[in-house]
Amino acid sequence: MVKPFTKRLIQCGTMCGFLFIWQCGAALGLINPDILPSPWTILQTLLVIIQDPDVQAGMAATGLEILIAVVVTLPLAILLGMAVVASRHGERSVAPYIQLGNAVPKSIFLPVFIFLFGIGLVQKVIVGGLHGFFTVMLNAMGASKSVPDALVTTARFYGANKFQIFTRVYFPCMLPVLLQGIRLGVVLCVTGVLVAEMYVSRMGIGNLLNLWGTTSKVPQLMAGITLIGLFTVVLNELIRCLEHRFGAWRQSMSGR
Amino acid sequence: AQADGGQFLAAFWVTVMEMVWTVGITWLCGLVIGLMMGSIPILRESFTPLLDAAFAIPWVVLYPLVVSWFGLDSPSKVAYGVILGILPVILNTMSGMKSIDSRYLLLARSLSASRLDTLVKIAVPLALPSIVSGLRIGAGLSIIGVIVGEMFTSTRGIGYLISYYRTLLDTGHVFLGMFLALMVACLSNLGLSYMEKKFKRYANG
Repeated sequence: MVKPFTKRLIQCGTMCGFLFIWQCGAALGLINPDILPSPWTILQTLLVIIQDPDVQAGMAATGLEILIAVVVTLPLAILLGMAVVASRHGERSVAPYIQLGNAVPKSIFLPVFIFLFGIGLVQKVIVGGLHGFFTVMLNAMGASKSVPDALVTTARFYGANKFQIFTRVYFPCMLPVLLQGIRLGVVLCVTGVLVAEMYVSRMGIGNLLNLWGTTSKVPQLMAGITLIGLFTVVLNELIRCLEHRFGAWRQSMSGR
Repeated sequence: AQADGGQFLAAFWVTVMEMVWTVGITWLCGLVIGLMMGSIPILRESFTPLLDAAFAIPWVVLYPLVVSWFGLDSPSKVAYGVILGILPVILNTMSGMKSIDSRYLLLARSLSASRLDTLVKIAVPLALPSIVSGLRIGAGLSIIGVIVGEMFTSTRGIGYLISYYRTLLDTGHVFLGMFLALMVACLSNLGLSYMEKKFKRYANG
């Protein structure tokens, strides 16, 4: 078994070492600053662009799109997934279509969404939501089926009514798997919204990235990418913490 | 409008060539990195959480950077596809190496097998289901990356034609391009699933 301290040491050491080599390379003039700016330049640019009102407006617009996509699509997907499993023939009739929707790369359909919904907020929300919907619905279906029948039978033996079975047995059993699905769904929604924004849009951080790209402002580009990366990693780890908190009674398979 | 078959066929060929390069490089680099890191337990345990966290980052936003580094033509699409697809390959390879029963490795050491022999003859066949699953997911993401990259900015390829005709609001040609791109994605998915099934049979039998 590797001690946690050694793991953290190697992780931090690798990241710091990578940044150090990069910074040294840039400082010694080995790396062309127009192609690959140094980490210090990127950090300074990051602090500058955060205070730029255009960038703040872009971040707010993208954040709003992601928020609406997640809040509207993910609960819907979970409810539909649970409803499909609860009905008798639901799963056999609906599951193939959901699996097809999951397997098909939805980014190919971007022009169709532009034709149908324009290039405003609604289109971004729909594209982002669709990216996450099928995965979360499949996950909810799997989570519903994974509740052991023995637990439900035991609860019914003790005279629990439907509502009590749902809140005391189903929901706690499903919650860890659902949270994992929600984590994937949020990541996919973010990806979908950003892809839609980078393709065609008038506002949002994806639009800014495109602008910086076409005008070859590489420091701003890398600062923007770092910002987005930090944001998604923090979001991902927050949901993972929730997963651990509610899934403590489950055997963890990844051994983190 | 009816005589555009040649244009679409040429673009189709370009895109397929880019996809072949992308999937090849993704698989090769992903397998090498995954096997190297996966066979050393310390590296494996340390880097899996890092790579798990990196999986959440939307690598799609790297596209303008990749274009300013590699240019507008095919190399940037190949690089973009590799970036998008390499992480699942590495993660699944490392996870597969982790799931090997340590008794097999003990057997290898007791028979004084070299490191390379242990890796090739014992570790990889045992980890094969995970590895092949990772290859499939990675190839799928790479292929989508190539098409999406072409749709963003490009000079040739199916995605380029889709975007070109979209700006002309020529819905018919847009749908033809989308249909071709969808065919490639679905056929490659079918092929990869078939490959995965065959490898599962080999690994279990």
